[in-house]
Amino acid sequence: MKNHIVKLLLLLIILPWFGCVDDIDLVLPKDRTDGVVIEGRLIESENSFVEVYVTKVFDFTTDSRVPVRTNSVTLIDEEGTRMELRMAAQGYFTAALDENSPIQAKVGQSYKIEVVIFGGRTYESDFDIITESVAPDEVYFQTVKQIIQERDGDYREVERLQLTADLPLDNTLSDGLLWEVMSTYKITDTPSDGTPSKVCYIDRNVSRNEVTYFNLAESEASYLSEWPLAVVTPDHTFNEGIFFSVSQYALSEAATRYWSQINTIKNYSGNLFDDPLGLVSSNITQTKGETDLDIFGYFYTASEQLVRIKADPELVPDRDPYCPAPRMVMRPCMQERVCCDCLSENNSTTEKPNFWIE
Amino acid sequence: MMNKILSICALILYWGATLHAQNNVSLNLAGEESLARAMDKLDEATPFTIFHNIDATYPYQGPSTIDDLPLADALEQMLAKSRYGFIPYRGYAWSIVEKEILEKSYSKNYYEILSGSEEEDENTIAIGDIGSLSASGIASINGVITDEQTGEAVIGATVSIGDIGTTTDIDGRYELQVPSGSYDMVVAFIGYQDVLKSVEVKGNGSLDLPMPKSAIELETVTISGRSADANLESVEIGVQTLSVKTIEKLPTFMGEVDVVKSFLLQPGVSSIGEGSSGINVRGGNVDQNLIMQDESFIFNASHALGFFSTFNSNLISSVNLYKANIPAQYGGRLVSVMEVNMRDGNFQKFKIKGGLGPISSKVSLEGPIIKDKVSFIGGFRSSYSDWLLQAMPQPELKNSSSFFYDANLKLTIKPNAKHNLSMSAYSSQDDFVYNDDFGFDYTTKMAEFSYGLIIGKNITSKLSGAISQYESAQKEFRGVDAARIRTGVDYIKLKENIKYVPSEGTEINVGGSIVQYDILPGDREPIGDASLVSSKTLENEKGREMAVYANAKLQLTDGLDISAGVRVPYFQQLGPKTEYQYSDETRPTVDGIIGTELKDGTLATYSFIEPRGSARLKLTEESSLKAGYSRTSQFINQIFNADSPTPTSQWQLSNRYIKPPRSHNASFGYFRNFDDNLWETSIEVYGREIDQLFDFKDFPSLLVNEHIETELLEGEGRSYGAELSIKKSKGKINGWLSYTYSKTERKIEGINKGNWYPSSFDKRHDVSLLFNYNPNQRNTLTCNLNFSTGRPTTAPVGSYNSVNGVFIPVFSERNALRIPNYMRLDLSYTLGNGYKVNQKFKTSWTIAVYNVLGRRNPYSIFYERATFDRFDTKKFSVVGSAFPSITINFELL
Repeated sequence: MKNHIVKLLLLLIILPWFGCVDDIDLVLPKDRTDGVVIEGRLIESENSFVEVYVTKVFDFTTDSRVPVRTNSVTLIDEEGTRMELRMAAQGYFTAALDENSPIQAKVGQSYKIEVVIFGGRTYESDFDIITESVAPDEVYFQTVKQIIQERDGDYREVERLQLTADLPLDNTLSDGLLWEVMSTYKITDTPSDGTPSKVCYIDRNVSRNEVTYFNLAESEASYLSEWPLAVVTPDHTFNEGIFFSVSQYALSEAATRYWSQINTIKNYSGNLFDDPLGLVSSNITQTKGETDLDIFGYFYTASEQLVRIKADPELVPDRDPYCPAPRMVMRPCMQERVCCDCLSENNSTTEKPNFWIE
Repeated sequence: MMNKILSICALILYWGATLHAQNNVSLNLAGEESLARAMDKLDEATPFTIFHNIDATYPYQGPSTIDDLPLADALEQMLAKSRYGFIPYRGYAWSIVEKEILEKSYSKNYYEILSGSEEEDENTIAIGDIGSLSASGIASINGVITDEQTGEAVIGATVSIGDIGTTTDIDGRYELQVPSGSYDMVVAFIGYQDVLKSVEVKGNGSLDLPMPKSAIELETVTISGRSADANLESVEIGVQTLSVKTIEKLPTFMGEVDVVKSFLLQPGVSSIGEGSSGINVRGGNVDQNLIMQDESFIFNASHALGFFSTFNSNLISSVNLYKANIPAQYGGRLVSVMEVNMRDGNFQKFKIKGGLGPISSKVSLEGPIIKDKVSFIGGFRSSYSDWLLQAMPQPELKNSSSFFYDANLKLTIKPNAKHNLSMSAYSSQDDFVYNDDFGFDYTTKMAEFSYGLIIGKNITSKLSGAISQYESAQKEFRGVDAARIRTGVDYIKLKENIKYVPSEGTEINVGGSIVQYDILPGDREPIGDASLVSSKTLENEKGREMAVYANAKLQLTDGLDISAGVRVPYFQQLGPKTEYQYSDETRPTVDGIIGTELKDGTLATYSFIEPRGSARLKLTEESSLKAGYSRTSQFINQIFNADSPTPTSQWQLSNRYIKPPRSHNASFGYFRNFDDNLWETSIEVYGREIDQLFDFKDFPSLLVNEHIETELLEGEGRSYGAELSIKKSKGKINGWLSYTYSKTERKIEGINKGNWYPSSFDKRHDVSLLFNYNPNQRNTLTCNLNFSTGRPTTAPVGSYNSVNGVFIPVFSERNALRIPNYMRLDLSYTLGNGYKVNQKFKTSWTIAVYNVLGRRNPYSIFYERATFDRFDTKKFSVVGSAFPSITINFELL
């Protein structure tokens, strides 16, 4: 009897206690209205440009984002000069801002956009001013350790590469900094059909769906050391060389607030202490037409400081030179994990980028 | 019957006359117009004392001379045409009393006492003397009922003298108005032996009585702390009382008895889920509840970030929740008052009590310092939960720690029945670290005193004071954001209450209070060399909240009682303080800041008149109607943007821009008991309107913000609902079932297009079932079931991509969606102490299973990005499985 009591006690004590996370289906409100998203930015750099996307809100009832039928997208500077953007694809408008264009991108100048969609509904953004920042002193790799959970539920510590920056800060120049990291890697394929092999250069958005930003207005620091820009998993993309392009964007006060809100959303984990989330603010308002559509999105300007760093293949062990198999060719492309056609990868080109140095 | 009384009167008067026959009197009353003066002349002309309370204007209508008459004859002639009669008292005094009272109210015993004809009985206790008797012949009897062993006050004991009865209050005091005479006095309370005394009421007086415990061990009995029909009799509406013994038997999370969360089983009380600190009463915010530990406010009553409450149940005598009408004695909160009354120490002998649970243990020691005069009680509770965290598989939990303690000490001095002084101190601390990444800590230090004094007949005074310091901090340990952000609230409070009980059924309380606040709104310090956070300390905020109040309970007619009062608070925001100025003062924004000004003295003032009242109409012996109304205001509010405040959420005083929320609260209820009060049923409806209320903008900046008003939006709120309850309080099977329908909404310009929207704790339907099975005094099986509608939440209803590919969810309007319904079943079994009263060491065991069904009730909703640009909506459940616990309690006498 005594043994039973001891066992019962042990059982009661050691049963696990932890919170749980499960999938859930929410009943969405029935009276939701359609929404239009206008997302745009003007980047001041060596190759200044402006780009604007006009799409529908993705409401989970369709499988893809739908471009909105758009009549025109116009860039307007603070002097009232207007410049219409060309439609590069359905719902996507862009223009280079060089010395030949009616509007040039200049630090200290403000810009806004006007968008006219079907039915004459017209939307206009607030003006946003281009601010500037000091370029990073150094961008380099650090090895960091992360704990991951295996499929069997166990936890394991792994090594990752962290792209890191040291940079001076000056909050008199701008209110916030935003970083984006793109990678370009080289890969040589081995076609299974006997055609000659070729070399491809493939672009990837490393910081896709990640927000790396720093609010200068909330800090009195004058230098940022070991600032983490992105964590990358060493893989086959490192085999033949990879460049990382770090774009540092200087933001205005309003744009800093916008990215701060997005950063809050990205960090939301749903625990007891998180602030409830809300609608990310928009600086786009409707000026004409029927007001039957909700409007979302933001237009901001930024100046860019671009830094490129090449990763040494020695940083990582050799990996399989895998790339998507053309037409699902199983053997040898998929089964042996070799790259049969490097152009089958998205954003792939055989044209060597001008910054590429072997 | 009347004839019998008159015959007795005549007989007694004859005895009196005989006794006084040898003392004749002569008196000239020519020209005398006042009967009172005529009686005074008679008093001077005889060696006897003439007691009277005749109005000076009442006319004298007797003979102009009294010529050598026995005193009784003289009185007979002088009073013949008046409404007054007379009665003798023990051969040396006469009392002039209205004839109506003589005929109707006085018992045979009374005349026997007055005439001195009754045999003195050694077993009879005499109370008062004739000198203190009012002209009406009604004597006021008061006293204190105590536990014979411990000397502690017995709360809720029934005290009856003859046919007139009452119950003891929180200090064990009773007060009765009875006609003079001889009676049987009975004092009764569950768990104690009835006390029967023969008393001889001669006039106003006191009688304190100790009650011996019954042969059955007290601790195995559920103490109701109230009379059987208290739900019908009390004037107040919406008052919930839970005894500690009931609370201790409820199934709890991790075996921790939780005084505050126990009220979640009561109608109209809810929370937003496990781990949230505090409770929501009738749709109110957590910070709109005033939690009192004796005379002190508790600003944070939760340990472990809200999982447990800070009250050590070993030290508590009772807990009351005023959820409808806050008495005029209390103020400063909109919605409810929770009184947590701490016990006095044992005045007779030493006692040690303790309890061992899975994550914490507690111990208390009490006893006399001077027997019957001075006692102490002290308690300490501490957690040791780190072993549990170390046993977790997740590395982030292994690197976490959680610790809390609380300690109480109380000294009570009762030099005599007139004076009662108590002094107490309290300290608690929490420290929580998650994965060496972030953490929280918070401490409360508090000291208070209370001095009770019986000033005179029917009048008592209670002077109390408290000083408290609450400080909290949240910490980030890593990266450039590593910092410690502190907030705190200190206060000093002084309060005086005078209670006057002029007659049975009438009670008047008047008093005043002053509270001085000193608040640290925010202080930020970087942690470590890598931190880029700058140091920043906001100016302290000071305020003074004063109030005077008066409240009277009256019995208007037989069956109709009212309690009416008024409270007048006056709040001052005090400097020095840098005040921001805005281009639009009605809607302060960061962009609208036009300057600052350092101000001293009084920066802003608010004063209101708050009527409070309730009424009870007894329809039959087993049914009554009640109604109540109160106006309340709140000058200190908690700033939080999460669904529920955390212990580190900042407290904010009202100022020029942040106006105090104010509310109207109204309730109406029908109460019906059945089967000699075995079954209690009730239906209450309530409504509340808050005419000044604030909510937060989306993505507000709340930490260390010197112009916090720019993050707030002002509007109004309302809540209303109905509560149904059926309760069986006695028998082997007892418990209750309650259902609450409630709706709580807000309307704030700038949120949801200015339309009404549900608040975060709007739970439309809530059902609670508590089932107790007591096959005998020692064993209790308890089961409780709670079901409630899921609370509102704001969740993604769409998404889009930023130009650089960042996925941005589109959120619904605020609180437009609801998380799934909440349901939880808990079980517990308590093996109580043995039956032997004199056993030195006693143990009791409680085995509980929290969330027996292992239901994963969602606490919050969030999303994770999934493939193909979709996202998965996830629910986070704080308690994801059934959770068993064992608690062992012991007692050493």
